[in-house]
Amino acid sequence: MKYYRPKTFDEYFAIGKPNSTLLAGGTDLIPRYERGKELPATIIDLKKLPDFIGINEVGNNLEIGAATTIEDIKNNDSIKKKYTALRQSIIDFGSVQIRNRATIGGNICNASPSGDTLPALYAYDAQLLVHNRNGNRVISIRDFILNPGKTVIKNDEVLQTILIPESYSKAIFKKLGLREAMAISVVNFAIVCEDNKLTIAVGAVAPTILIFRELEKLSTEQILNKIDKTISPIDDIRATAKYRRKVLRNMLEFELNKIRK
Amino acid sequence: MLISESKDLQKIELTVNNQKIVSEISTSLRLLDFIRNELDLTGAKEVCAEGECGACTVIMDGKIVNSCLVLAVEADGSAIVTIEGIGKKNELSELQQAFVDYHSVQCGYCIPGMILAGEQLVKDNPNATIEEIKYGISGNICRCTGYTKIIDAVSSLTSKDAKK
Repeated sequence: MKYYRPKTFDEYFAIGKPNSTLLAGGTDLIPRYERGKELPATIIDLKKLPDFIGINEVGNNLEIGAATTIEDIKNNDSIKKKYTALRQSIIDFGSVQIRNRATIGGNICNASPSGDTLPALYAYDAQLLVHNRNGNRVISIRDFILNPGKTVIKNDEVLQTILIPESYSKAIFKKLGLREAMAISVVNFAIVCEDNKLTIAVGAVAPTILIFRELEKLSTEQILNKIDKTISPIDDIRATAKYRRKVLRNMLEFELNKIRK
Repeated sequence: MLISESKDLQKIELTVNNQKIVSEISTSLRLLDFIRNELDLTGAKEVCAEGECGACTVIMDGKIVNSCLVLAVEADGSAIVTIEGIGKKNELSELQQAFVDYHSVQCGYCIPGMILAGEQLVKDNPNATIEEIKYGISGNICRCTGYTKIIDAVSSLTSKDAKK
């Protein structure tokens, strides 16, 4: 296994191995090799690429480098003040050791149905800047993730930046896990709300995060019924499908009543 | 241990407990295996091998990490502190002494990780509240479940005002 740690974009593309495995925090990748997954021929470590790291407010946009660690996002002032749903998802994320290594780009590209930053990023309609050697494209996170572990990113592409186009005066994230730290979510969701806009994103109850928009004219009961009809939770070691359905409905009702007051 | 060991070797330079180390290692070697097997520093323990338990915790460039989730090649150029770098021979650090005074140690397996998490926490947040201490050591599991005494030891070093 060849290991590369490029320091510039040019150096990254000069490695010229489109099928190499990209390494960010490694918190999901390394255990897979420990469980027996075959090592790749080439690993490219993205953690020393300055263009992939950092958080900047540009106009109304917030830009987060894909290789920025979860802990650095947690401690960022703009996120503390303005992006409360994302901030809460990060407070509830893993443990100190995991947050110190894990990255936001890794959490997105891992495309887990229960990925903890995903409901907030879906609710904010995060835009993802993806590069290849010849150029770049921007994709909404809502179109980026296809299935568990599967995204639209191609072998020669790399996720560089996450752009969050707007903040909301009311934005929350809630998660139910079997303990507070290091828990994979049984259900999780984000709600963002302005006077004439209400959006909900729910996780861990379908193969991908589900997004529900233009809910502002519906009653809470109508919203809950609409979500209940759309989700397809499964039984697993953490919870039964029935429990997920029930607890999601109860938690959503509680939070909607608070947020719509 | 990684299931398959890569035959590709790479040179790394780093400091471990302030000592400069230069070594040529397999690219698939984990940092945990490097410090335990190559450097013979066996304080960091392997338990879950997936980042859940914190027994393999080391401090890497001022941040606690699970050394089972880091490749040794990724540590090239970094400064690592293991439990062997805390305190001196016959002279415990303040936190190590607190663990003795508060009877925080039972079987001892989690303790190197707990001490390192605690040392970094107290350094980063000298006024940590009990809640902040619980949050800060939540990546370290003690299966003897002696958390209360461990939290007592860490909080004995943080500001008294903060605990109210």
